[in-house]
Amino acid sequence: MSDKQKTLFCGDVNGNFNALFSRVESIVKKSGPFDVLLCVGNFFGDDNSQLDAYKMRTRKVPVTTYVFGPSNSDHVKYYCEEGCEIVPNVIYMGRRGIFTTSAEVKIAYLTGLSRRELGKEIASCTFEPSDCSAVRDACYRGQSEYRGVDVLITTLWPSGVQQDECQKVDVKEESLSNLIAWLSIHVKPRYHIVPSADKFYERQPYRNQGMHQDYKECATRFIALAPVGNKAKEKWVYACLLQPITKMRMTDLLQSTTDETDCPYDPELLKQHQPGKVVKVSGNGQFFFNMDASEDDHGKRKRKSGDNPDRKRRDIDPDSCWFCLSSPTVEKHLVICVGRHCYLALPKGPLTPYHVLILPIAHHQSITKSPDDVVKEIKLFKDVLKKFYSSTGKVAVFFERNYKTSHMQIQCVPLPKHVEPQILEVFQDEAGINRIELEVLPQYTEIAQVTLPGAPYFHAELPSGEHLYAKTKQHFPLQFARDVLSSPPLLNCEDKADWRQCLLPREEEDALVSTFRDKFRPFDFTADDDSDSD
Amino acid sequence: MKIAVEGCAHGELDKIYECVESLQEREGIKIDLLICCGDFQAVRNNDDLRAMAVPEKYHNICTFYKYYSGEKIAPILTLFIGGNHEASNYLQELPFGGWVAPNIFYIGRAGVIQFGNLRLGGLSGIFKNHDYLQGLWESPPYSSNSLRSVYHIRSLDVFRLSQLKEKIHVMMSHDWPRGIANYGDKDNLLRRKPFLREDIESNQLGSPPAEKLLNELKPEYWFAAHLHCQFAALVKHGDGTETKFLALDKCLPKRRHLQILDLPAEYDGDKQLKYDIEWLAVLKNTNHLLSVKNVDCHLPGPGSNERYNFTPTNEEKDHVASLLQNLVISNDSFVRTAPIYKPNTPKRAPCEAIMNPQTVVLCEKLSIDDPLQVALARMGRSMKQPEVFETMEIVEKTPIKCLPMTLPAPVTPSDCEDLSETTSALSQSNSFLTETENTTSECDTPPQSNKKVFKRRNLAMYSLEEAENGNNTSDSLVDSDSPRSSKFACKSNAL
Repeated sequence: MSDKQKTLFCGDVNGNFNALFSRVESIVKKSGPFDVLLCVGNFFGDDNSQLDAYKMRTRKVPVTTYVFGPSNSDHVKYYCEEGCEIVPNVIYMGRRGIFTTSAEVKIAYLTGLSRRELGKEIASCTFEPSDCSAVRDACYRGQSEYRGVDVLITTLWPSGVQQDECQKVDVKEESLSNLIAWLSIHVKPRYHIVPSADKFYERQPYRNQGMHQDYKECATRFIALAPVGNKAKEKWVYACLLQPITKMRMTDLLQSTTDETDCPYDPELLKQHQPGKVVKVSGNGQFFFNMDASEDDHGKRKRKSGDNPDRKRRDIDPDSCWFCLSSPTVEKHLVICVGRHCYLALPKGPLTPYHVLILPIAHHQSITKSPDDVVKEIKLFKDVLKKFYSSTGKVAVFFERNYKTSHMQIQCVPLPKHVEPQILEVFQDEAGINRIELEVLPQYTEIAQVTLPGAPYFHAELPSGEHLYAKTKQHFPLQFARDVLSSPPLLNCEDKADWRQCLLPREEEDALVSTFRDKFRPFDFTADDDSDSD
Repeated sequence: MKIAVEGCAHGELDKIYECVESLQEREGIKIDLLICCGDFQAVRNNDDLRAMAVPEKYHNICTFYKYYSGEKIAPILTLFIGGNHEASNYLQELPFGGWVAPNIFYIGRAGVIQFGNLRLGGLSGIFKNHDYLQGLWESPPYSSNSLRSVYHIRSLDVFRLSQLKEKIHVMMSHDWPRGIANYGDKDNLLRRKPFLREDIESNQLGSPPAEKLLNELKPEYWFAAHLHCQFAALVKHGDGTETKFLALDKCLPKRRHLQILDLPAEYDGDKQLKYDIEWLAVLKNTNHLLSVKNVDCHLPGPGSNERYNFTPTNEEKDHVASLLQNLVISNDSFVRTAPIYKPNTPKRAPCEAIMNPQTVVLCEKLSIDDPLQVALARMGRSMKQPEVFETMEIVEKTPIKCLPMTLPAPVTPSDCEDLSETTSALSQSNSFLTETENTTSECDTPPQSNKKVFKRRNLAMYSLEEAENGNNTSDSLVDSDSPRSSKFACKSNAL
């Protein structure tokens, strides 16, 4: 039972298809069939006439070949749709992504030039910093214990890699990219393979580092392959036997070789959650230790000092809880409808007119500490709200913050459908700025499965079904989700980020509640209950 | 097949084996296997004492070291899980189980093993909420924190056990499954242990993962210890099957710490200790899920885009079987990785992790990771190759009888009444016992054997004779050479 994949890599093909495939054929003849051939550089050249024979099937491509995105605008026109065959047995994989071969080998790739470092955009040939984080996220997604990927393919070289003390190499400044260094240090490939303009280069393997100090990860072999059929006879094809990283023993991955070096990239890059973003350093740490259930310092200064005693008591005494339906302090006019265990209410200072809260009737601190009945009804409320919002062309974001709250509130915010693709990215950007480690959990995840009852957390459910989860620490910004949702790409109402800045007069609140009730009626299952009992 | 089940051992192997042997004689039965539900205290030497989370006044070498050094041989094949009082450095050498001494087998952090046709599973350690989701990050030298967290149950081990689909007959855990008190005579339990009331009423007593496993695996028997009191319960599952639960006390006089389980002959098989294919295949399938970070980590579940069901396919099981060839776990694989006990040597906290050849062999065969090795490699450290420690000649010559042991109070005839009383009380009150027609004993003292007993002042004189006999008789002779032996006569008569 061999679970290894026989893999071939080649450098820039530049249209030399005959040289490539006849060489591959002779390799296959000598050492048996290979599973894949990965072309890490430009596939097309100025003259692509040799390809016709393969298109007409008069010549055969001997090994399934994968081709990645262009870095030359003249070549863009030759590419077909992503995931399709350019010629039989040659598949175009697009410019960024990750794919898993049948042998479970994971190959991540981000090709083309860096728009930011180049200073200009070339259509279909440049990538953005957000492409880097997209590739990183795709690698991390759904991995309980991230080890790395088997192969990373990029057009550009990571800055820093050529500064090896033993093997200096001449590489043009424009082939180097800080963003690729960021990507490489984050995804930890076992092989990082790039095209080289002239010389073959193989760096000594370097040892990756984990986020925590002195936490060792797998080693990376960095290889630059010369162009196919080059005159200088520099090596342009590389063969290896790949065992998928998930099937390897960690013991073997951590086994050091005598020639390995430290990671050549700046370890600070690891701390940048998003590439190239300046991370905000919080100023006065003391403030955040304030046990008062307060907001960021911006909000705090504006609040009347008279609020404080009330707020403190709220944590201790459920009678004065703002959200317990039985408590005298609850603002009854905000209640929209009441189910068996939960009720729906308008928040103070809503982000949008249909922004509502799902609240348990009894005093429960968080969904992870609530009884099953409550959890079930919350799910029911979420489902009908999703249907309700979608009837108005909106999608729903739900979020809960079990941090400095004593009564669970699930916020439900409708967003216009067209912003849906951006939601995840904006959340991640904002998390990066605030140094929040935001995890993306797959659909159907139950929050209670990833955290312990009582542990503080932030949780959001996106229209895609994905869940965002963060353990909240000392400095977690209380308005985090409101900051995200009110930002220009989404609701574009930054003035409403702090609910206290957008409180509505009583009449407007009444009006919002009654419109919501009217519109929501066809979806309201609590109303059914009422009519049954009548 | 007859199995003896022991609660917490607390290092009192001499006494436990005495009990079992006297019981065998009294009842005229042969016990095939002894299983022990944790707090085994496999302390080999003074250093190991420092890897045990107990106050210094309890740093007592007890009796395990004799079985480790070879001075004594366990008279009955013994299988145990870890509890919260263990030589954690030693148990960490054997994450997937192995011999800790000849004839004494540790089941591992979690594991399933076969004895004949009987499938026994175990979950070592105790549940602590705050460490449950953590990776397996602890390694020697232990801090005051890791000395304790090292024996806390981790979600990965529970996840692995929950992948099992083939029937488990006997399951062991150290702490009780949560909620188990509701399936037995709770009032009686509360009368004996009133301080448990609050925990029981708030459903805080016991281990939630053990509760989950009890409901998923539905074993025929579940044994536990930890709370130092005997408690029986019967859990009826939705599919009509039942789990008979029994918690046992610790090994002290007048305590119900031993239970004999009489199983039908169909479980006999070859009565050999064997690896379990399904379990090993789960270990292999889930190897990549190992985390050694001291942060919470989650395991894959429905909706994730990686595999989350690791119940092995037939193909995977066949593959594991082909990797292993021989499933029988032979006593020959036992290796001493630490020096044997020498009195008066300083107690130095173990600071190095030793590579146990038993673990190395299994990891190589299955191509899986030793969690400790990975934890160290992540920090750039490596494990120490073991020196080979053979039994030393000198030890054989040392007179064995002069052991500064803390012995229980001498047994007086009044114990006999107590014993018969409790025995009948047990068999009446407990459907568990009547159904299985077990003999119960809280035998804390061995009755005088019928064989000739003579006092020996110098064991060395007899060492040759013993070597020739090479059997348990010699052990029991040595055992009975204790100050209390003369008092046993009336006891054995009474029985």
